Amino acid sequence: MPTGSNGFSTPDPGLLLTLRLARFAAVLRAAGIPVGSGEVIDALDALREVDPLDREQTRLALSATMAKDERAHASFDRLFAGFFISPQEAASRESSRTAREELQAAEDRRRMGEGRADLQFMGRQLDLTDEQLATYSRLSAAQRERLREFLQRADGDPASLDPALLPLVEHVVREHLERWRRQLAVARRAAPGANDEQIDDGYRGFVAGAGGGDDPLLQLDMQQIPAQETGRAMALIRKLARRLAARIMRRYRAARRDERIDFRRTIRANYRYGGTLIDLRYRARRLRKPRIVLICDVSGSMAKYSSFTLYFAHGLAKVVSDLRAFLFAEDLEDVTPRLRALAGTPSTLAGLAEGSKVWGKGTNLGIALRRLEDEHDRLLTGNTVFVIVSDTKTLAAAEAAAILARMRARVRGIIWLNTVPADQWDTLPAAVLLAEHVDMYQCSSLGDLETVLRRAILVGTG
Amino acid sequence: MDFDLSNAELAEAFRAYDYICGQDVLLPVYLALRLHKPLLVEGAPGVGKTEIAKVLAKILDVELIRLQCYEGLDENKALYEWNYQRQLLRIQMGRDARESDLFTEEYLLMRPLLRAIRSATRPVLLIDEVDKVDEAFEAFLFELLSDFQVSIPELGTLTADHIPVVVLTSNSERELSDGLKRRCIYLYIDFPSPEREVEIIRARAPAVPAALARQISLAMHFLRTGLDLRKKPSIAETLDWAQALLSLGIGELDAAVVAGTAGMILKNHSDLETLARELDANGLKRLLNA
Repeated sequence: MPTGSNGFSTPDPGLLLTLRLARFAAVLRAAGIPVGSGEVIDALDALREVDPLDREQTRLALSATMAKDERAHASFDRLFAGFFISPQEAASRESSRTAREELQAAEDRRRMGEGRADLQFMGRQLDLTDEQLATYSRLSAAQRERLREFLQRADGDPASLDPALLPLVEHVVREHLERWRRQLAVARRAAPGANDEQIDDGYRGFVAGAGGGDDPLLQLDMQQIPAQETGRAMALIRKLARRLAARIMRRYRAARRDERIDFRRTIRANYRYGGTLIDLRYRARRLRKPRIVLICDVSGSMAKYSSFTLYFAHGLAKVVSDLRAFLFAEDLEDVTPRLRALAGTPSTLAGLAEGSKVWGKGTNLGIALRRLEDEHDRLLTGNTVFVIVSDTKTLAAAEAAAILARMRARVRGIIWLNTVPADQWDTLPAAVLLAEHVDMYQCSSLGDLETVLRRAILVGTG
Repeated sequence: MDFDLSNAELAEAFRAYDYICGQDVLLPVYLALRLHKPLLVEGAPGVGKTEIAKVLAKILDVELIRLQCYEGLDENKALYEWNYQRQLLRIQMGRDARESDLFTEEYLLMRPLLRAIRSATRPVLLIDEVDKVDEAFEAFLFELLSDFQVSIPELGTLTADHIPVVVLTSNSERELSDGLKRRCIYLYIDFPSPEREVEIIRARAPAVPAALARQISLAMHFLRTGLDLRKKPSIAETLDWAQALLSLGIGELDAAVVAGTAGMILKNHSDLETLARELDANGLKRLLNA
């Protein structure tokens, strides 16, 4: 860093720019855009090629080097606008930050006062530092309640109380608060800006504007999609169903043509070279697109997801020619012909639900899969991909798991779209059991479905 | 051939070749040229992704080498293959042929990637629809794009004399790997605004009257944003439609004209039905409403 005439170092403008870009990269990362140091270096190189005073060129240069997919591209502009701000805006942010800090300090003081009143033993305040009281004030209501309960229990019978217990109780409370203080510090470090106000501000500005950049519809739990958004949701689900079909149907692997020489045709073609095998003929590999068997859970527990299930089934039926669709609850019902014939408006799809024999019943995946094995055995080939939409809340899960294990050996893949969030699967024994035999993905919002499609599904098959 | 074009010169050259676009498209192209990085272009089908590489080759006056990706593309088709037939003939012609004689560049069938590396001048290499290949091939591709050299066991390592200008396009059917994206300058092309589409029509089909061009661009904008179509019409379809209307001598759109020529812009049955329902219900009201 160069040194000025007054002996203090003056910041190097290049270094300042690098620092600023590194902070911006942190904001992008916090918003879910993967930006590595390679991208920051590219961004610096790009900025050297554009007019530094032209804001639009700066935005485009950074966008081209730091936001490298459609989703990132969509949220980039708002993140840029929130981070690179005018001096006036920076000053106003600074003053609002000061105001916020003052408010926070006042709130902390008030809650510390409450803390002193809460944390008493035998009518005496515990000897706690301000920092420990501040930690107490930042705890959740439930955590504070637990600490108060502990003190009340310790305080229980005044007759049997010994003042000598006070240091012991104080020690326990201090230990607890220390542990929580460390946890809070860890959680705070994990937050986007790690206490860097510029990063925090940039990120806050981004989050404040509608749902973190993506279409808000993507973030909604599928059972909460409002009626007026149904049309758009249906279009989106259809689009995603189409993409799922493309992912499953695409044959990425190369044909192993070197193993499949067609001798009869080769010899025939090489008569004219006197029998020397110059022109090799290969057996054309028959291109067989996989068949999709869709099995949708329409039992009572899945009722709230019924619209999603139906739109999804309908969307797939429109794009996949070789699709078989079943609804299941206590039993299995083939709805393929009826689904194909429908126009796909909410009312006709609701009609399909009403006409179904299994709709809204209890769930027994065991029976449903057994019937599939018994009656539709010819669907179970190496060319079939199963897609199951269900919340895994089923009877006979062990039987279902055993059948799925058998089926998995026969079909190309089993994808399970689970409407229960992944962090709750551990609490559902059936989910744990079934997940062993299928590729299970969380699918409670349209955003989840999109995420599934972005991941490599059924890699290595095909 | 001038690879040191300024941003303004590049803009002018794109316009000269009738590629009408804004700085949002031009600047990433300019940066890719300046920073010697591959350009990754994403966007819906028919927004002009491939055209960028073609125009670049014309502007730089160099060869365009194209690798069209498809399901199951392998290194034999993309990089090189030994010319087995020729090797066989050589063996038959001279019985004293040694093995080392058969594995020379003479018997090498160069596929697009190797051709780009061995090119005597700096070419434009277009890797089209890269999202259609599998992950393993993609990994191979980004190794190639970082070193621009290829090892052929029988020949040794072949290094590029001139680093090609690389343009990759993707229809976003599959998420590309971070490694590939990290090496590229990214460009996302959206459908043009109605105003820009008028410019495109006027540049590519100058005989189309301004008023008709305006109507066409409004209608296309509505079709892409206002209706739920399986396949949104591309710019190529806009131009086809404009030419068709011109040759029919039509100066102004009406519902009958749109219904009669809908096959020029929508290429599947359910989309045609959607448009027919729209025309029945609202006529041209929503279609031509800016």
